[in-house]
Amino acid sequence: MIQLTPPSPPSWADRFLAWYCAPHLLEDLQGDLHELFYLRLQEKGIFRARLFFILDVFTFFRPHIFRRRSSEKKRYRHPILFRHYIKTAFRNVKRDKQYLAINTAGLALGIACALLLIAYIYNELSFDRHFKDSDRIYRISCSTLIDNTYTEFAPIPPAIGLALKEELPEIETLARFEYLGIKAAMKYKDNVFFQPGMFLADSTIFKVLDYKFLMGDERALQGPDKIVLTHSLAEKVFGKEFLQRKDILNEAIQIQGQDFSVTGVIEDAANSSHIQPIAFIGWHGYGDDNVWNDSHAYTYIRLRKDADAAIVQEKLNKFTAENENILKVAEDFGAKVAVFIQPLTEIHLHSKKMYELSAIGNINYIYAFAVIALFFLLSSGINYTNLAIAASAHRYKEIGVRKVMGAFRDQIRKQFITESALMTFFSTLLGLTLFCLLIPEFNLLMDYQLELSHLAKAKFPLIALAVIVLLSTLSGFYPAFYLSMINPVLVFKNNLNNGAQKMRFRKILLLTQFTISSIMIIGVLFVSQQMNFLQNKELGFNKENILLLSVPEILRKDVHVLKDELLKLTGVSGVAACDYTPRPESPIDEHHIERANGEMKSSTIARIFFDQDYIDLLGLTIVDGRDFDPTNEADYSHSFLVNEAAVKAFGWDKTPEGPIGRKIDGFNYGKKGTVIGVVKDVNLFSLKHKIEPLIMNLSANEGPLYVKIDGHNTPEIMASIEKTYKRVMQNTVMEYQFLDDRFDRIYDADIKMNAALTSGAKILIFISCLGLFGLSAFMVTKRTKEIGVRKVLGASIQEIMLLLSKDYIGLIVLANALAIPLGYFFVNQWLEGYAYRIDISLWMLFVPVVTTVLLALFSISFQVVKASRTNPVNVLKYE
Amino acid sequence: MKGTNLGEFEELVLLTVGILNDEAYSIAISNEIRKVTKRNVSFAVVHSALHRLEEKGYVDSKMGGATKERGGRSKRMFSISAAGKKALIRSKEQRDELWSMIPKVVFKNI
Repeated sequence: MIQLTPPSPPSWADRFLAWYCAPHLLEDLQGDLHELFYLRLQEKGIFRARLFFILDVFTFFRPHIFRRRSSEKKRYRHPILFRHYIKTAFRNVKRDKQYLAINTAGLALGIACALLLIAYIYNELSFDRHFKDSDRIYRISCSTLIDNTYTEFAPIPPAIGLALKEELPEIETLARFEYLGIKAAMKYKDNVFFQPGMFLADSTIFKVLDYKFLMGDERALQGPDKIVLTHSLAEKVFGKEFLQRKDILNEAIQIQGQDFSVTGVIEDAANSSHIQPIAFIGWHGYGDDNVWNDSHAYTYIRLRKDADAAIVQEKLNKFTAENENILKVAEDFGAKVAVFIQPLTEIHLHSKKMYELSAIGNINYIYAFAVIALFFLLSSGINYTNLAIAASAHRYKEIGVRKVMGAFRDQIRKQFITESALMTFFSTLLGLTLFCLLIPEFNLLMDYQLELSHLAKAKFPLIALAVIVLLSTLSGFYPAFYLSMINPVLVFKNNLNNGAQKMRFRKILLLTQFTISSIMIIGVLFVSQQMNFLQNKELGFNKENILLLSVPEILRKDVHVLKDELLKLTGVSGVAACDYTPRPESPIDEHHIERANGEMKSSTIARIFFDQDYIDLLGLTIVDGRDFDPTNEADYSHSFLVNEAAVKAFGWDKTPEGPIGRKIDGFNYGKKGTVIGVVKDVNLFSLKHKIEPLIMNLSANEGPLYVKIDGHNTPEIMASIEKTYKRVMQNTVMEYQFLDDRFDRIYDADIKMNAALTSGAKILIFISCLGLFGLSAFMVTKRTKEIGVRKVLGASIQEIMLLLSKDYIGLIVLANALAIPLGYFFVNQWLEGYAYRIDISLWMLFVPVVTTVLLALFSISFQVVKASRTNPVNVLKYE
Repeated sequence: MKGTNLGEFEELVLLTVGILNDEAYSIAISNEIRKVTKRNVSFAVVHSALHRLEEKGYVDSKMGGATKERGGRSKRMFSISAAGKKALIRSKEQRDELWSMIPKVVFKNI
């Protein structure tokens, strides 16, 4: 017999309706739709009835149907309850002060350090963005490709800029500026000093880069012999209260013996700008507009609003390919020349050209710092979550009672969220204070300028707030949700085995935390090893105890007098002059050089000038040919020394003629001649690169002076050197550096990175240990009875310690197994930037394992020892 | 209070609630409107109009009158509230006043 079931609406649609519809509307709406279904069933048949039912269900899917009634939510929101939550929160905190201390400290440290890094990243990313319309400002730079050597230059020949302004209608304004010597002698009344960082600039400069004028206006540089000072230079010249003086404008200042009238004072350049001028002198009459072959004019343009950078670049390419002057220079140099525009805001982090205006940031370090900031957030968040769950272990009964008395799950959740909100609020306050206190430390460590006042003005507070809110909600929510789901029946049956799954979750958190710690340890280990390696690597000459004395350009003619006088001092064993001071970029220049087959081809190659004593002072050796002869006039004008790398680079070693007598044309500095000798390879430049080919020239008047002193009694020698220097150099203040320091400064960015990494790692590891310390405390409390029983049955303290720590040790070893490949990967990426680098040996891989295990053991040992020492009687007495 | 005026369709629904008196629930109301006005009004539109009217306080509702076709679910029975009655009267008075002001000439040729 067939059982007839009455036709019914499609059940899935019915269920869908029941799901989305607000409970208070469901009953009658569902009833209505069912009734309609039966009406239609009779009129139109089953198929249409079902179809209309489905259509109806979907037409009712609207906000006013699925929105839950607001009064439903309000039902148990009660101010008294809220006060009660806060009260219990405070009571709990009071009961367990250790937990409070550990938890707030960990979170506060994490917040402070993460904010610090975020502030740094923010600052780096905001470079040059303070200029008005910074997205329309571009720098024009150029590149040469000579004999497979591609070199990019930040400045361009000044004539190109001028021609471009004529050629491209897209350029709204264009401004060029160039250095006015390295240091210029400045004189105002009796005040004489040497001032670096002055620029010759087009009068349009203030239309491209909107420096704020304290006096005068943006027309200040129009007309000849004008100078605009920055605030700090004006203070140096006119005294602190110069702004009160009305007579400063049009005052005359002497620079290099020439009078200039002050026509404006601008604010100091922001720290976050790659251009750090100290003064601008009008280009008019000083700059050379007709130079096509020497890149020294930094050229910035502001494009029209409607201009498209890509089209401008295309026009630039066309211009470069057709301009006769550029073509001629390219032919002279034997080079392929390209001119291109670069957005102002990308210069600081993405540009790696020759003659950059200031030390350039590194985008990779930004990534690294972002990762570390994330590590901090993760680690302190994990700490918080883990501790909060562990700490709530003794509150299961409370939750159970609350539930039995009729608390909704939502209320329990609210209670714990209130608690964690309170906790994170205090941690945040603490963290922010710490952040403010740490800023000077950070600046010192990284040699950086983070300013709170500057950050506060920008979007940084919003970002910080977002980070904090995210961190505290994420770390506070899980415990609250987890606790609200506790089943009261199980709690009272004393049967809450805490859920293996929950345990696993916490272990995963702990694992993450220790993986992070291990990665940091690996980073610190390798970076510091590499830095150590660089600083102690044999360069092929002795860099210890050599002093670099700077000699202002206009006093260079007296340099031999100074040399003779210095040599008379006891403790000074040698003095030499050389135009090269170690810096990240090598002093390259274009040359025509004879190849193995006798052909002259152009080449971009490093060149230095020094006097006859330099080779001896550094202990360089001539391996072929002869040294310069200072008495031979021709050696100054027609002779070159080269290093072995150059011999190899040009293939001279493979021919019977050898390197001696090869022709070199240093056309850029007007010297043509032959190679007279070969110097043994030494590393005069950065160890990031292999030893580069080098051309050496003899010259009588160079600066700075390299002064070799014997290492004893350095302060005394320094004092006598300074006395002599002042006497000979007309009372100029002596500026000096030690050569080995100077070499280290090539790796400045890496050294800073190392310093930041080390401190960061220490704090991170501290946070992890703090967490483990707290966690072990709860673990031990939970197992006091077990420990008691074991002791009664004869377990030794060692056995109990092993029992309690073995879980954690296993976890930490696993964390290391994860961290080592990851850390190795990162470190390897970084090491690839160095031509000379440490080998990765096996012991280095053991260091993080041993360190983390020892640290973990150390942090849990307090609790474990305490537990294993307790008298079992005390524990077992109460049951 | 937001949107206390009575829309044209709302007025229609409200009047129908009055007509049906004790039998006013959404399906009956939409059937009645369809019958009287010959307009093809959909059930969902009537439902949401009733919802709006209830929010405005022009109708009261109570549950009751479950049938087998509805799977034993109650109907939501509507009745005009005091405010609803006032609104209806006000609206009628406004129209009457407007009607009375139209010059007779306007309708002369109909």
